[in-house]
Order: sequence, then C-alpha cells, then structure tokens
Amino acid sequence: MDRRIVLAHDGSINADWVARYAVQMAVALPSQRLLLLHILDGSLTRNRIEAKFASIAAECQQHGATCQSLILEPKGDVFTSLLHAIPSGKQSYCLCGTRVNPKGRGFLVGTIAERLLRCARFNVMAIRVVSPGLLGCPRTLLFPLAGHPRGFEAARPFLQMLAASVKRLYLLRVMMVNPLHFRYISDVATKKRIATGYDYLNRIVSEIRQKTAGVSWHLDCHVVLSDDWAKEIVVQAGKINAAMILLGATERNLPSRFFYSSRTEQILRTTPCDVGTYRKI
Amino acid sequence: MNPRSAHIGQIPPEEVYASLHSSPQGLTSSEVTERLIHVGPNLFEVVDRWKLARTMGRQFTNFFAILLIVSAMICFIAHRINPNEGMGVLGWALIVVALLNALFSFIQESRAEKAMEALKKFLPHLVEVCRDNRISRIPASGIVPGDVVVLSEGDKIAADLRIVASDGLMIDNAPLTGESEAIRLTSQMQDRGLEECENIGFAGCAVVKGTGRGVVFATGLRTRFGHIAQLSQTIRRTGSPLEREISRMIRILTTIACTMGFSFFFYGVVSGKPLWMNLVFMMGIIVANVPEGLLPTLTLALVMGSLRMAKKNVLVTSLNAVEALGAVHVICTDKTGTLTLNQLTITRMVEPRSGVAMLPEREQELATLAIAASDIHQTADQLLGDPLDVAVAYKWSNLGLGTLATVQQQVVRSFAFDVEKRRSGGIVNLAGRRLFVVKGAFEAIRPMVSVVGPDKNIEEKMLLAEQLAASETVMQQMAAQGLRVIAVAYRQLTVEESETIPDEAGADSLEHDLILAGFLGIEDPVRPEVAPAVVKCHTAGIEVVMITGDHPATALAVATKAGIVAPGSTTYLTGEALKRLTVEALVEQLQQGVRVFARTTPEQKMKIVTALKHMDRVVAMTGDGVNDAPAMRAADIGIAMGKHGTDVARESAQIILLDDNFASIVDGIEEGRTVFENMKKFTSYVLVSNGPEILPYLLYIVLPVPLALNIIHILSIDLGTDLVPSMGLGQEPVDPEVMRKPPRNPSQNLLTRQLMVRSYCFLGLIEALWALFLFFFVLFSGGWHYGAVLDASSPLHQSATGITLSTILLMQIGNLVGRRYEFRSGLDPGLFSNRLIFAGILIQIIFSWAILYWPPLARALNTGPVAAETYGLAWLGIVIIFTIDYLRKVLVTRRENGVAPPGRDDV
Repeated sequence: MDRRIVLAHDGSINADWVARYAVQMAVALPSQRLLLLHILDGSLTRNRIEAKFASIAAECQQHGATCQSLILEPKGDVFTSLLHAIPSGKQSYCLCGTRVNPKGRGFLVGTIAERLLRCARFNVMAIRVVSPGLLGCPRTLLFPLAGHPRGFEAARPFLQMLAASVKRLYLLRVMMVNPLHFRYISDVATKKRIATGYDYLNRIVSEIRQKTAGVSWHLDCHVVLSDDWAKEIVVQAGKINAAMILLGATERNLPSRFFYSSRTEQILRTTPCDVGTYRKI
Repeated sequence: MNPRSAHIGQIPPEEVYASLHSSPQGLTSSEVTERLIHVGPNLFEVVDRWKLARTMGRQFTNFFAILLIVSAMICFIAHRINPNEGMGVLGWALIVVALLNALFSFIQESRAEKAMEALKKFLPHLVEVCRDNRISRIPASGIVPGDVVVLSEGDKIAADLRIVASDGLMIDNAPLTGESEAIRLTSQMQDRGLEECENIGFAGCAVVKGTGRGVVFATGLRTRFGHIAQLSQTIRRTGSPLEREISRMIRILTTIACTMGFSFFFYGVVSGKPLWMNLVFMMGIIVANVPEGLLPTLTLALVMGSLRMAKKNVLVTSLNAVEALGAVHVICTDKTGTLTLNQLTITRMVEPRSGVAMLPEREQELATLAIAASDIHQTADQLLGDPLDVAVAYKWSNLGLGTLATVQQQVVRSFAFDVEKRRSGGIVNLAGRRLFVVKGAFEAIRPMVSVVGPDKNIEEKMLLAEQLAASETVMQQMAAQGLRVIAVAYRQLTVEESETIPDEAGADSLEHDLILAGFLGIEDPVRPEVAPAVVKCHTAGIEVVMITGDHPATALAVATKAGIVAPGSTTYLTGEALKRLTVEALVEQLQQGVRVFARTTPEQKMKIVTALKHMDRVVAMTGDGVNDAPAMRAADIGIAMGKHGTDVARESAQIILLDDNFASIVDGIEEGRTVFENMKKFTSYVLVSNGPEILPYLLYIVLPVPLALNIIHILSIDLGTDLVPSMGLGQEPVDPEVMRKPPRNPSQNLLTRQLMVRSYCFLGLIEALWALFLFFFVLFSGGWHYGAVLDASSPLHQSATGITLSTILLMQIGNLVGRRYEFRSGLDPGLFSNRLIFAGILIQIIFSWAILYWPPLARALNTGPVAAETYGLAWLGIVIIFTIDYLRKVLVTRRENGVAPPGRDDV
C-alpha cells in the first residue's frame, strides 16, 4: 500500500497553515494523495469546514496532488473518532496542528496532538506554525538529535517528504551537562564531549547523504555543550535563521516524559520558527 | 498559487490575502482573537520570570559563597558553645563578606538588559490597521498574521509585512541591513529569497517616503527583527577566561582549606582534644587557607585596568572584558570607520585613455568640471553634502583654485544624484562657454560618451569603441587597486540649449554626445595608526580578520594597506561563498589563511564567530549596527563603535571604542594582558602569607604550644594590610614584552602548581619559620616552657602573637618587592615608581609597629609590645625573604638558561 498523508484538521487557523505542509508533503509522495479529515465537535459548522477543505483542495490541485475530504460526526470523543478514521499502519502519516490547550497549559500537553503522538498506531507529525508567510516550504531546517543509536531513522520519512523544500539541513547535537557541573567544566572535558558529539553527527551526516542520495540539500552540523537543551535549540534556530525545527517526540518512560515534555513545551512556546514534532511507529 | 512559490514574496499580490487567510477588508475580531491566542502578542521580549531569581541563586551556590556561609555557621555554633571568644562577630563578618560578594556579582550579571530597550526604539507603539473593513489605530502588540497594515511616511513597521499596495513607498532598512540608502518597495512578486525581496517590509524599519499597505505574515520574535532581539537576549555569553580561572582557583583553594580543616578536626576529636578547641582549629585552618582579600583585589585590578583603558578610548562595560581582551586570539573587524577614516578622499586623477596621472592644469580642469556636477553647501566650519561631493570640494580647494563660492556662482543648474541613473550633473559657465557636466559611475556614463577626451600619451586616431575599451581598462585597473572610480564627462551646450535651463527631468535630453574628461580615483584612506597596530597584533600572535560589505577588490586593497594580508594576496571569501560553506569548511578556509570577507552581511558574522570558536580561538568582534548585536554577543568580546554605532550595538557590547579606531583595540589588548600578568603577581603575593597563617594552627594541634595567630589576626592580614600592596602589584605598568608574546593559552592557569609550591612551601615557609622563631623567642624570653598552658589574655602571649603578626607584615614587604618580577630583583624600577606599592610598604611598616606599640590597636587585636631589639629582628625578616627569593631567581635563571638574558621576565 502507498504511503498516504492524513491531515487531521481541527478547524483552527493553525490547521489551515499546517495544510500547506500537508500539501507540500503529499506532493513529495509517489501517490500524491492527501486525505483531509475533520471531526465535527461543534466548534465550527460543516459548511465552514467544507469551505476550508475546498480551499485546500484547490491548492492541492495546483500542485498536482489529489485530495479527498472526510467530515465525520464524532464517535465518542474527538480523539477516539480520529483513531477510528485514520488508517493504522506504517504507511499512514497523520499531520496535525499543535493547538493551544484550552486550559492554557501549553501547545502539546493534554492536547489531541499529544495523544495522537503517543498512540503509536500510525506515524504522526504535529506542527506549530508561527510563520505562515513561509507557505509550508521550510528552506532551512534545524534537526536536533539526541544521540539515539538509531540516528535519523525515525525522522527519515518526514525528512524525505520535506526534502523538496529544504535547501539547508542543519544537524544539531546538544551535549548535556548538569547545570552545577556546567559552571565548572574543564576545557579538556568540554573538548571531549564536543568531539563525541561531532563523531555522532558526522556518522549521521554520512547516513543521511547515503540514504537521501539525489537530494541536493546543503548539510551542516554543529555541537554545543549546554545545561539547557531546549533553550539551546531555540538559540540555534535563531542563529541559523531556521524556518523549521524538526523535533522527535519522546519515547521515554513517564517520569522523564514529564520533564521532557515541559522542555518541548518550552521550545513550542518560544520558537522563532515553525516546529514539527514527529513520531514514527 | 504558483507551486514553485517558497514564500510570501514569491506570490502575486492578489493571492497574498488568501495565502494568509485574510482579506482586503482585514481580519474580523474573532479571527484576531484566535490568532492572538495561537501566535501570541507581537512582542519582542523573551519572557523569563525566573531569570533574576536564578541569577541570585547562582551567587550563593558557588564554592566560595558556600565556604563562607558554612564557616559562618560553624562560627555561630562555636559562639553558642563558648560565647566569650568573639566567634559570633566573626560569623557575622563572614556573612557580610558572602553577601557583599554575591551582591557585587549579581549586579554585574544582571546589569539591566539595555539592549532590549534600545531595540524597542525601532518599534512603534501604535499601528494603523484595517479590521472589519475599518481603519483604526491599535497597539502594535495586538497585531497578528493576516492583519492589513496601512503605511505612511514616518511610520515604523511593527511586524514583517508583504506589501500589497505601494505608492512610492520607500523604506529605510538600516536597522537590518546597515545600508543607509532607502529602498523602494513594490507590491509585485519577486523570485528572490525572502530577505532580498523588495516587496517585504520588515519590522523595525521605517517608512521614509510614500504610502502603502501590507499584510502581516510574521510577528514578534518570528520576524527578522525579532530574531535579532531574541538572540540579543538569549545567547549566553561564554564565561570569560578569567571567570573560569577564578572559579577554578576558588575551587582548588576551597578544597584544600576544607580538606585540611576537616582532617585536622577529626584528628583533634580522635586525639581527645575538646570540641571547642577542634572547632576553633578547623575554622582557623579554613580561614587561613582562603585568601579572603583576593577576590576584592581581582575586582579592583579590573576596575583600575578599565580606567586605564578608558584613557585609551576603550570604554569597558563589563569588568571581565578587561582581561578577556588580553586573551584575544582573533580580532574580527569592520572596515569602514574602524580601519579607515570613513572620509572619502580623491587620491588619483587620471587621463581617461592612458590611465596616466594628470598634469596639474588638467587636474584643475577636471576638478572644476567635477565640482560643477556636485551639490555642496558650505557652512562656517564645514562642507555639507554627499561624501563624494565633499571629497571633490576638498580636492578642488587643495588645488588652490580659489574659494568654492566663485565656482558655485558659475553653476547655473545642479541635477541631484539619481540612485537609479547612478550619476549627478550640472550646467556651468566656464571660460565663456556653457557646459553640461555629468559625474558618476563609468558604466552609467559610457553609453552617452561620443568622444574620450584628448590624451597626449596615446595615439589620437582611435575609433570610439577602441577609446571606450581603453577607458574601461583604465577604470578596471583603478578598481582593482581598491579605488572607487568616478567618471566625469561634459559637453558644450548649443545656443538653443543654453537659452533654457531644464528641470530635473529635463537633464535626460542633454545626456548625449559627451566628452569623457577623466577619472577620479576615490578611496577611504586607511587610518595612519592602523598598519603599526596590525603589525603589533601579528607580533603578539593575534590574527586580524576583516569583514566588510564592500567589493572584494576594495576589501583586499584596504587589507593590504593595513597589513592584514601580504601584498599581492588574492585570498578572500565573499558572503555568497560563505553561505555555501559548512562551518567545518569555513574552519579549513580560515586555517588556510583567509583573512578577508567581502560582500558579507552582518548576519554572516555569526558564522565566522562560530568557526573561529570551533578552532578554540578567543574572538573579539566589532560591530555598529542593530544586526551586529547577536554576533557580538556570540563572540567572546563584543566591541561596539562609540561614534557611529547604534545604541543596540553599544548596549550589546562589553567594550565600546570611543574613537571607532582599530588601534585602540590593540591598546586595550595590551592593557588586558598587563592586567593578567599583574593578577599573577598579586595572587602569588597573597598566597605567600597563607604559609605563616596555617603553620601556627598545625603546631597548635600537634604540639602542646600556644596558638601564635588567631583568626582575627589572619583576617587583618588578608582583608587588611595585604590589600593595598596587592593593588600596587595590580597597578604595575605595561611591560613592552607583553605584546611580543603570543596570546596566553586559555588553559594557562592563574594558579599553577609551581606557583602554589613556591608560595606555600618556599616563601610561605620562610615567613612562617622566621615569624614562629620570634614567637617562641619571645615566649622563652618571657619564661614560658615547653608544654606549659598559656592564657590567651596573658601579656606574654599577647607580646608573642604581636611579634608573630608584626614579622609577617614586615616580611610581606620583601615578598612584595620580589613579586614585581619573576626573574629580576624588583628593586630595579625603584620603589617610588609605583605609588601604591610604596603606600603598601608604608602601611605594612606602620601596622607592624602599631600592633605592638599603639595600645588601641594592640587591645583590639589582643597583642602586646616587645623589646625594640626583638622588633629589630622582625625587620631582619625583610632582608631574609628578599635575599633568599632573589637567590632562588638567580638559580632558576641559571639552571634554565645558563645566564639570565637581560630584561627576561616570563612570569
């Protein structure tokens, strides 16, 4: 079965902006198909959603992609309805927006996007768009890596789908140091950690070059030593004038997820550019 | 929408509204609310509620603060056990020292982020927007993507906008690009990068002319201006080498102090000594080991250094920058104004075909023609106008052709410089003829030329095409030498043309059949003091990198004249090439000797800083514009231009050059290096007194002898008498040798093993032995016998402790003189050459006498008098320590070099 993009559109302006990404990514697939999906939760009328979908469909057509739309009545809550509607499996890519939590707790925590990321039934990318003027075409992509042995494997399909827009792919490895130790870390220890980071990134760069042969992006990498990785990612995004940060969602246990997600929230809140949080099954 | 469109600037204006989900009538209030919730208000400040608390917390969690606080706690416990020993007072004293230290560091760190305040000046408070089909003025913080903003002359732009309607809209982009010339914005789509598109109005820029409408596509920190604001606030400055060194030093000394203190405390407990005695002992060891006065002295040395730098036009805004400047490996400098005078000067006038320098009478003719096409106003003390026209006027005056007014009276019409045509013009009456003169870029004038002026140096019978080709070659040769080339052409007006004086537009009709009169070679001369300063840098092992927005030929010419690159060097990198390089590749280029970056944007400075830091270099970066601020923060030292810099640059920098002169940076480096050398001197000086402070406590715990020094005595040395001599060492003058050595290795420490061994185990031991000898001499002379318990308030004990303290103070004089040079005696420059050192010696002498013979002080310190002969023996200590130290210097020098070379002094 061909890979297929499903845009879980919640009717918000962010979802409208995320649709640009969905169109661009759908065009990159061999099937060039996009499924628009909305669960009627009462916040918007069917007509309003249909109008939005029509506009997205027109854009799809301009790009030569085919678009299908599905507006469904909820079966249970919205999340459950989405699980029913989105085909499970590795070929399914769900795109959704990170919408501000109604309780004001953040952009991901407690949202449907977070539940989709955790459900592990299909691949998910939750996008927060803050620069709609980029039209879903991130030219410079910041890709922070946490040092996972799998390297960029989890991000590979998403990177490939964004490859047509991305001209510069910037890999970042933040080598973490305990805040108390960070103040006293020696030059030797700093250099050792930085070298470890570069060893890792150089390996990933080779892998990316090998596995995305034919993509003409400009690859660069950078390692920084820090006691606050979230802040460092935001700073680096500003430094390289990134159009998007591609962030892997945590697969950790509950206690670390508690701290980890607060860091992700920090990035989503203070980001100078769009942020895509992905999870591959 | 065009599938190839990659951003909002690449789509036609009619599609902009739909792309941003807006409409020409503007957003509705519900749409605004939704977007405001999603993207947040249009604010440029990075909110960090805990920043102050974190900064304050950091001041109390460093080793030094913890040590002081724990010591104070122990004092309070000791005071509770035995209230008569004054330990409570000591506890409070330690708390006060800890608080003062923390407060001082806190003020330094949390120095109000004025950069943000300066940035805010570029943003408006109110914006005119169209919402719900109505135009209203709303707070700038309330605009969201999709809002339709109305622009008119004088407005500041509040967010990044895609222009959808423009009526002569001219924008000053200086805050972002540094370019002073306004650019015309259009609503038409453009196939360029977002930053280069001339249909985008960026936040922070201002409308200088015309009106227009734009649709907001990015707000707050997501705008280009927001990126600068964010980086200016969030980039963490790398701790200066000195900060790192001080924290390392404190860590080592604290570890030694605590290890010794606790070890002997447990030894005391095990050997059955009373708890009170063990606590006093432990406190004594800790207090003796910690040089309490060192941190204030370091700070004072930096303050003094900054004051000396200020006299050299280098204003320091962060004390640590004083020393950090001395550790610099690379200076990344701007060209205009820093290396050059920022004053255009005509240095060559050449024949248009041969390129030969003009004869004086031809120079006069050309200058007169050029002045006719210039627009200058003379005030009482200066010439006002375009810098190029001013340069022409100065040249004209220097040729001795009379007053400017005489020629200006003959000018009947001036045509202002046209940016698009790249030329200016004028009509002038000269020698009974009415001439139309044009002055500008050769490319702009060439199509109008029908004759290239007569040239004695070349064959006359040349076709026009050949003549122009020859002129083109001349022009290219001049440009290759880094000159800005201006062509001057003219023609005599016909009788009919002379009758009417055309307006600005009418000049077009006159622009034909011109005679090319010659070329003016203009340059911004390199400051005379720059080349020697660059030589000084190279001698001192400091690399100079020039980063400029100018053409590579100009950049290379200036770099050659300044001595940054060797004559004939053609190695440079342009901004375009820089964009394509990875950081690693850039490192390679820098290693291969690239020192000139031309046609670069201020944003690219960040990449250069990153590459240099990747090479473990300490980097100083100059800047003057708003967009230089992030790179200046990312560098180890940010240097702003005081005269021509923006407030944002100044507030982001640690150092401000009051005269914008590169040579001042080098003076600052010399001063910074001297400060570090002096710090090593007084650190060594201060640590020597730790020896005689520690040894009495060790004797006290292992032998049945009285305590030779109490904690108050130790503090009176560390925080009292040692301060002025230390400051004196911190004020030692610049040694010419300091700029003949390479920059110090960042891993070179202030506190080395060698220095510690020499301070504690050699000089400290000598002081301790002589002071303790006199202590026991007084005790035995007074009838004390080994093992006898002596009350601390007994006159004999007071005299013995008095002479011990007095001896230490006097021997510190010998130590002080010896510390002035590593291998020289310290007497050669004379004791009076440094007033503070002389004052320090006087203080030591007066105190050594007063603690013995001046009752109020003796009472306060619990000391007593001794016989004059005994006091005389204390003076002998000065000679002992100085002589033995000098012998050591001689031996070390001989062992290393055979014979000490004159003037050698590698501290």
